Amino acid sequence: MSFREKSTWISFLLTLVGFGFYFVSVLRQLIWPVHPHRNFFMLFVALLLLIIVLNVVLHAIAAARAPADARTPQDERERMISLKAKRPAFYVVMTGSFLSVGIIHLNVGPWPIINAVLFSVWLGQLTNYGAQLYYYRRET
Amino acid sequence: MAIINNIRRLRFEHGEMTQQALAERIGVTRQTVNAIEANKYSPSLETAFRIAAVFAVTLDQVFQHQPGAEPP
Repeated sequence: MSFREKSTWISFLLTLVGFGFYFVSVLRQLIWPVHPHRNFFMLFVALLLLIIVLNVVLHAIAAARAPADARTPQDERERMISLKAKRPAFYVVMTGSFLSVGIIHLNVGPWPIINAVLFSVWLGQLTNYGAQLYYYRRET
Repeated sequence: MAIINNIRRLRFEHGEMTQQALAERIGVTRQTVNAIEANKYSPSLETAFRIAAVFAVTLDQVFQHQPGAEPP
């Protein structure tokens, strides 16, 4: 497995688990309201920082295990995979964003709308990483 | 129409050159050389010419059309 594929796996799993935890917490709040909303903003910021730190640490470990591979610049196939993966991700983000705008008509306030947009971005990013992993696996 | 290639044979004929060595000479990753060899990825013209230059052969001695076959 190339360094770039490992890198995509790291980002995919951290995004899935990290923000997955956040959205499960938000969903629980919507079903059984117990905490004030501002706690979720802090949770989001804390998870974002944790994901960034873990990304840096895990990428450093992966790079240390294959330094030559990590130093190699992205080649034409990897660039193509990256571009191809953005296409389905774009549709996911656009669809999610338009659906999020539709929530305005439910008169639920800004907090659910913000989370719906964030959820769309999260799904879009997971689609982007997932599609990259699919193309890496298919062409190896 | 798919494109097939003789890279594996050419590597063997050039002192059993490794995929990594070929990858370094043409400026791609080993995984990309592997994908090209397996006919799972068609390289750009620039890379195709670089591969031919490494083996000192013409482009059609490395890559051939295979009419009727589906591309990867």
